Amino acid sequence: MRLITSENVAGFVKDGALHVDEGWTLAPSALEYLRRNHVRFGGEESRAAAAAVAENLVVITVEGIDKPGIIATVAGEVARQHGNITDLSQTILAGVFVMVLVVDMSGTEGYDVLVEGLEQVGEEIGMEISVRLYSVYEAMHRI
Amino acid sequence: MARGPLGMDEILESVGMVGRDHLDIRTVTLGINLRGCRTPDDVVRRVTATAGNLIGITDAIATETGIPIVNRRIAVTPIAWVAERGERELLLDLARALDGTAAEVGVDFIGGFSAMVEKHASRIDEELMAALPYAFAETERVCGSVNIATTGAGINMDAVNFMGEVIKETAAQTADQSAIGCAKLVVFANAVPDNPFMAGAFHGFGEGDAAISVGISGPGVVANALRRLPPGAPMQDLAEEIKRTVFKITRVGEHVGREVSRRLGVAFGVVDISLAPTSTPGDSVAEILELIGVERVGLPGSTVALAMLNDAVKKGGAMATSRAGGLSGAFIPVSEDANFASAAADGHLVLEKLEAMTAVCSVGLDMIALPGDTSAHTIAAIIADEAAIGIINNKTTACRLVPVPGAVPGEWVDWGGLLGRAPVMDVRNRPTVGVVQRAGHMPPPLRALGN
Repeated sequence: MRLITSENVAGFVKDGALHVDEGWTLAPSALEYLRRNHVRFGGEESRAAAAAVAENLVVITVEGIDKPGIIATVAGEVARQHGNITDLSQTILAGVFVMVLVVDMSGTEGYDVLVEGLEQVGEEIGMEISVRLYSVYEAMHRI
Repeated sequence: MARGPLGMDEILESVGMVGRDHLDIRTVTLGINLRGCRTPDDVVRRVTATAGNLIGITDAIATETGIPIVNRRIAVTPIAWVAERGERELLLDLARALDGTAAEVGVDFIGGFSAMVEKHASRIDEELMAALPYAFAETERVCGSVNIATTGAGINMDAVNFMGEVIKETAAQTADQSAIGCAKLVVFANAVPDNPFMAGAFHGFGEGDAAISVGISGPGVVANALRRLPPGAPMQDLAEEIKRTVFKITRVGEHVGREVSRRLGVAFGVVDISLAPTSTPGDSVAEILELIGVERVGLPGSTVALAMLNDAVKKGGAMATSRAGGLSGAFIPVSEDANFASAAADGHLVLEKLEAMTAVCSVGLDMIALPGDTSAHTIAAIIADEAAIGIINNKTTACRLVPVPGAVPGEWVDWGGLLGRAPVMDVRNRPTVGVVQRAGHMPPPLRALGN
């Protein structure tokens, strides 16, 4: 029996999918590697694609004293970075302006650049802005 | 559970759990298998190769998720299984190697200077146990443990006897730091191989080459959930609320753990569903018991409150992850929980009540300062009593007892940082204890005829 383990499994992965010839057997460590790296087997493409989308979603929260132009400024920065707003809610909680945006950042230059731009905008308009991966909130509230 | 996209209320609830209620990941612990490491240099190479990116990766994940990761630790294969020979100097070299490599990769504690001696101690086990006081005196980050009993093997009373002496010697060797060495030494019954929490973490048999395990926490989140219930709500409503809350905390822990595991390229181990307090205000298990309706922890009612809490924590957590493990329950370390420490100082909490409480919760007599003149026999007898609770009830129990040289009951001892501070507790001390002197072996308990 020829073994595919965590040591050599990467050599069998092409374009995010596993290609194995007859005569090879997957050891437990290789299966673990495939799961961790979202490598798909036949028929699992859609699930892997869905996971990739979820990984690109961030939750942006904006908090502070209400003033004109907050939504325009924050949304403007997201648009400038080619982020796509997929959900937006806004309210006044105990006198504090609170806004939550869900943004697909797959078009942006990545998490760090997005955060840098939004933090700068937050300073300019005096609002507290945080950017967090959506997946952690989803893990907390969805099975 | 709702489906579909998250609502604003759900997102704001999560934000509040972190910002207001101190929700955090208490520890991300990387277990590393040291089999085949023949020299201290081999150990250093193995640990740095596996753990080199641990701090960078966990820092990035904490930023991106907004969930603080308080501690990063390493657990290794029990050194008594790794050491080739039992010479004191070789064992101390291994301890120094662990200490140095922990500092290099940036973790504050490395656990696994350990031996499993529940039935018999090998020569190397014995030498390791005897080396513990000097290993703790010479190193800063090394933690160790000795398993002296299991439900299957019974209690190794010879080892219990010996550990009484080892703890006294550890206290003497680290007397200038209020016996801090004893805070890094856990004596277990039914030790688990995948516990991510220090000081008792080690990478046990069957755990693979390396694994990431996560210890969750959040006593503050649970306390605030209980505060939102109507006053006088019946016990089952409290249990329900705790389950719901711990479910969410556990989901976060599993998510973060799996992400660390993926980025580090090692297997995912377990989520330890524990409520681990710290001395930060609002991060107390005792406070939850007081909210349940015990005026001060240690008074009558404390055991039932803790039993309900512990059970509800496990139920909520077990629903949230199929990778629950480790110790999973509520911790009651006296020095690490400000409300436990103050209840002990005010005389509401005594050692015997703590012992009773350990029968219904995770772990055992943890971080307890004892008078400096407590005898080795008395310490061994306390360990044996605690082990008996563990093996009869099929659960892990442990002792982390600190006889502080020169200290008297009521005096406060401060170990600083996470280890916290505690008053020296009164103990019914005897110079010799017959049951300990007998030594030998307590046979394992019967597991049939359970009706």
